[in-house]
Amino acid sequence: MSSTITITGTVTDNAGATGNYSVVVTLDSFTLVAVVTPANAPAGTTRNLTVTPSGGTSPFTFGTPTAPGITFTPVAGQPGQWTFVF
Amino acid sequence: MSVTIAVSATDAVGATASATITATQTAAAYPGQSGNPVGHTHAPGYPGSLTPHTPAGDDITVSGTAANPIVYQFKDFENGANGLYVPASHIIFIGCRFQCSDPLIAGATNVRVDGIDVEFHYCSFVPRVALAATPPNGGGYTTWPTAGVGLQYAPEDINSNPNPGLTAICIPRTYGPQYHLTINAGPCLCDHCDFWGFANCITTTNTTAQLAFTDCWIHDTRYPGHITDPGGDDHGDGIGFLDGTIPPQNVLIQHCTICAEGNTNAIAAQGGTQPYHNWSVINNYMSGFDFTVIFGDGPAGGTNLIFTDNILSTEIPWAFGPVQDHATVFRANGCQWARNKFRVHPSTAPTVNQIDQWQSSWDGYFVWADGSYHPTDFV
Repeated sequence: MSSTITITGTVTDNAGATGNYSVVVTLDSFTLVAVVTPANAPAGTTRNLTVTPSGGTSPFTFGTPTAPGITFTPVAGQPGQWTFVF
Repeated sequence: MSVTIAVSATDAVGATASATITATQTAAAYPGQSGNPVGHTHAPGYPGSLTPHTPAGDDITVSGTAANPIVYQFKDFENGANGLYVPASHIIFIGCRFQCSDPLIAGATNVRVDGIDVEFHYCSFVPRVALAATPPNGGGYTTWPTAGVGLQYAPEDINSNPNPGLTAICIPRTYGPQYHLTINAGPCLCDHCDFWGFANCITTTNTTAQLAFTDCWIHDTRYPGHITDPGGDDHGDGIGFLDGTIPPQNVLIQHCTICAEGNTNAIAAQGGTQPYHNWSVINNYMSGFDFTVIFGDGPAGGTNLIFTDNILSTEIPWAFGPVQDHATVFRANGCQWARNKFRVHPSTAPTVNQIDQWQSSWDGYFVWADGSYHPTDFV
């Protein structure tokens, strides 16, 4: 996801003439979509966590997920994917 | 129970984003119920019959390797009274049946494991089928989790007299082994196995290798006998350490059903010469015995002992209490006792020798590490 801001202004020369300018700036931002499969399962089940950026500028760097008492194991060669047991 | 997971990422130009996601634990059927069958007939790919292991009684002496374990699949081990000895390592049993009896009450062991890296998946540990194909009246197969549900037969009275009613719901002592599985090394795993017709189901000895018991069903002990009988009476247990020396470390007992008219302990982590370390007893369903659970016994100083999310239920009355008092153990050294619930089976009541005369309205209470019942969790 991105958002924009439009900046406008006026410039005056040394003879007193004026001109207007306008520039559009795109602010970089994005959102994350996280999915756990299976989301509902018995205790002790090995689950998959997949985190997908929506928008933004690639490449992305993913932080290690956090949850109390849970260890996340990265899926080799798959940035944004982990397995964990819960 | 659920957990919230926090995730974050940074893109190529330094923007960041974060999100959270929730994972939830659902209740799975305990072993032996229709939603969680165990034993050889429920092994994936079961062909409908077993192939006899020949010659009968031959031990398992040839080892595999870690990369290439030797697999015994859908074999019937008729172990007589002598049992099966497994000194070999890197062995996997899948969908096998192990039969054993104890005609002389001489302490027969169905399967003895001395090798390392031995696994049992969907196996059945049973009395000799020729003597008892199923427990009397179907036992726990008819009245899960074991024979005698709701009959109010405490396994024995305070003078070690077995309840007279047990003769009708247990096989004779000679039909099944004293020990179904003796583990003298590790790692060793039992998963989705069915055990019945024993005195002491699974015994362990001193090892630091991982021993794991998951989704196993332990039920329908053999008749325990009387203290004056030849060989004395059985001291029936589920899973335990009994020899009083150095306890094993790194033991996991998770999501098992351990319910029987055994007269000692479902979890029999009994006293040794050193403290216990790294045992986890999680999310099991237990009923019966004298103290259903002995955990944390022996010298002080046990570490990382976990007893959480278990159910202690009254299908079979415990003779004395659900738990022997080791509360101090679970207040130190990383030990944890939490979310263990008392369940009252319909039409049951405390028997005369029980330490706490509980009330049916206490159904759903927390069982504390001292064996008492409370509306709030152990502190």
